[in-house]
Order: sequence, then structure tokens, then C-alpha cells
Amino acid sequence: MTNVLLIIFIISLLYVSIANRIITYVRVLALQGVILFGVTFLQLKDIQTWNLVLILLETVVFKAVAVPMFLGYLIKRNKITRETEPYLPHFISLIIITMIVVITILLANSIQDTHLDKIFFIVSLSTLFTGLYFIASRKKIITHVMGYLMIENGVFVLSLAVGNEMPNLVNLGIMLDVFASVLILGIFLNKIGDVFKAVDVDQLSNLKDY
Amino acid sequence: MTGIYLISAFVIAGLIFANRNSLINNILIVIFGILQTAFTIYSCYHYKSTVLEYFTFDSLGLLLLMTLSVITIPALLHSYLYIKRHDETPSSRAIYFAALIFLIASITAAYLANHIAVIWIFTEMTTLSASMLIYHHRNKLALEGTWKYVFICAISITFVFIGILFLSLSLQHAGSNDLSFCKPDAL
Repeated sequence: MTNVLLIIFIISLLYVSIANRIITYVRVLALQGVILFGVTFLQLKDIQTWNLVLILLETVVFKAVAVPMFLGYLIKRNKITRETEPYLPHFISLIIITMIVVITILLANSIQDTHLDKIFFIVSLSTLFTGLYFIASRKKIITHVMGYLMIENGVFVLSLAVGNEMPNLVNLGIMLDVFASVLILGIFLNKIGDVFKAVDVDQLSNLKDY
Repeated sequence: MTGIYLISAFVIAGLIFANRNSLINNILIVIFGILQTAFTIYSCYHYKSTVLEYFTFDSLGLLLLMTLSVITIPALLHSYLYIKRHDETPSSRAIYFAALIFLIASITAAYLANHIAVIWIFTEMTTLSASMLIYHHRNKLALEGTWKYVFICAISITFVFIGILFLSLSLQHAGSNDLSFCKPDAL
């Protein structure tokens, strides 16, 4: 069951790579939050109740409900246009992300480690590189934020792989998520939309050494 | 003393943040300077002892802490003069000094921590307070700089976390799951 959920997670990455609208990204992020809760619930067997409540709050309430609602609100408030405006065609994005997944599988197979669950390693690394690819290949600032949130999901999966031995690391990962999302989204909500009219990264190029 | 230092530093930062009177502001800054110096002297007299389980006064930490405390005094003085000569509003002055004291206290705690996860937490706190300092002037360039700083720091701190995860994986090979690098008996 865990494997099925993780494979759905990978498929969602491929789906995002050919998505044309920003709202699709938001929905996929919500779906990934729900999948993460399922994986956590199945994976961490001997876990205290308060710890489970914390993870439930973080994955379902925060990742699957609060952040997508907040992103939707940002898109409306700042009048961000619907298209994601990639630098490359969607087809090439799909090929690159497939290449990322394949290379990660090859890499994971070359590592001989009994403590490392292979499918967790593959899913987390490919999510991480996919997030970096999204940051590099999309024009809008809000898609950069979404790429960052995707990297966080990948790190969360990786922390689950070692979570049975060290549950404190999962809690730390949750702290990272909440801290950075609040910081980045807070800045984005409050200021950038007001000051910069069209929110492309091309606008953020005035800062220079004189 | 470490607990007292951390709590009082954060309380001073909070008081400065809430306060709008310039005299009380200056008194609090002087109190923080004295506190930082006193804590440095205290830690020199308690070389190689561990307090609160996660803080150790080891050689490297002490060296860096002394450097930080030497730099703190001129930094506070320079900030005072800078704010005075630029006619800042009371609220922006309060945010500036609160963030500065928060930053110095977090750096101090990060130097002395002996557990890699605790260091990581305090590094996050330095990111937060430094972004408040960068955003001091609140104009377009400051916003651009803050955005770039926050985004790059958030991604890099994520990668640091991945490094900690891999470190804990390889520690399991060695038959240990202890991420602190400064055992009291190994000193």
C-alpha cells in the first residue's frame, strides 16, 4: 500500500510537468499532502499519539488545506495570469522529468544499503530534483514558491525513510516546513504583489553593486 | 547561566520590540551589551563543561564566541549612531534592534550547541532575524534583496537538513543514533 501511494506521488510529478495552469499545480500540491499523510500513517508503526496528531496537523491541515487555499488567495489577490509560462515546451519538461526519475532509479540501485528503503530514496530524490527543475524553468515567482514546496515534500519523504529509528528528525522536518513556508509565503503575500506589478523573475534584477 | 542568557536575551528583544521610548531603548541595548560580555567571561571560566544537555563550552565555540562578543559592542554602537542620524521612526528602530539582538543571541547559541539538530534550529533563527534586518528600509530594492536572501537561505537550509538525514543513515551503519558531536567524557 505504501508503494502504491509513493508511485502515485511520482505520477503526480509527471502530471505537473505537462500542466498548463497554475491552479493545477496548487491541486497537485494538495494531493501530495494527502498522500504524505497516508504514507506516514502506514510507515511509522510505533509512534506516540501526540506525534501522530502533529503529523496529521502538518500534512492534512497545513499541506493539503491551508497552503493551497493560501496560494489560491494569492493568485486572486495579485491577479496572476493562469499560464505557468515555462521557458521550455511541456514535452521537453516531461522528457527531462522522466530522465530524472530513471537516473534516480539507477542511482538507488547502485547503492548497497540495508538501512535505506529504496523506494523512499527514489521518490524523495526525484521530487527534489523535479522541484529544482521547476524553479529553474518557470518564469513566475509563485511557481518558484511551488517548486520550493515540492522540494519540502521530497525532504519529508526522505525523513520518513529514517523516521522509525529517529522520530525526532520527522518533527524537525515538520518545523522546517512550517517555518519556511510561513516566511516565504508571508513575504510573497504582503509585499511582492503590491510593489512589483507583474510578478516575473525578470523584474527582480535591479540589485547591483555600484 | 546559558538558560538565563538565552531567556533574558529574548526577553530584551521582546521588550525593545514593544517599547517606543528612546531612553528605555538605549538602556536595554546597554544591558544586552553587558549581558553578552558577562556571558562570554562566564563561559571562559567554565571551559569544557556541558550545560542544559545541548550546550558545551568547547574550544572552537569559545573562540568564535569571543570574536562575536568583541564585534557586538561596535556593532551596537554603530547601529545606535546610524539610527540616530537617519531619523528613524520609533517602530522601525524597535524592529531593527530587536532583530539585531535576536540575531546575536541565536549566533551565540549556535556556536555553543553540541548537537547538530540544535545548531540547525538556531541557524534557521539567524535566517529569520537577518531577513528582518535586510528589510529595514522597506523600499523596492530592500524587498528584492530580502526575497533573494530568504529564498536562497530556505533552499540551502533544506539541503542542510537532507545532509543531516544522510548523516543519521550512515550513523546507523556504525551502530549509533547519536547526532551530538561532543560527548562530555570525550573532551
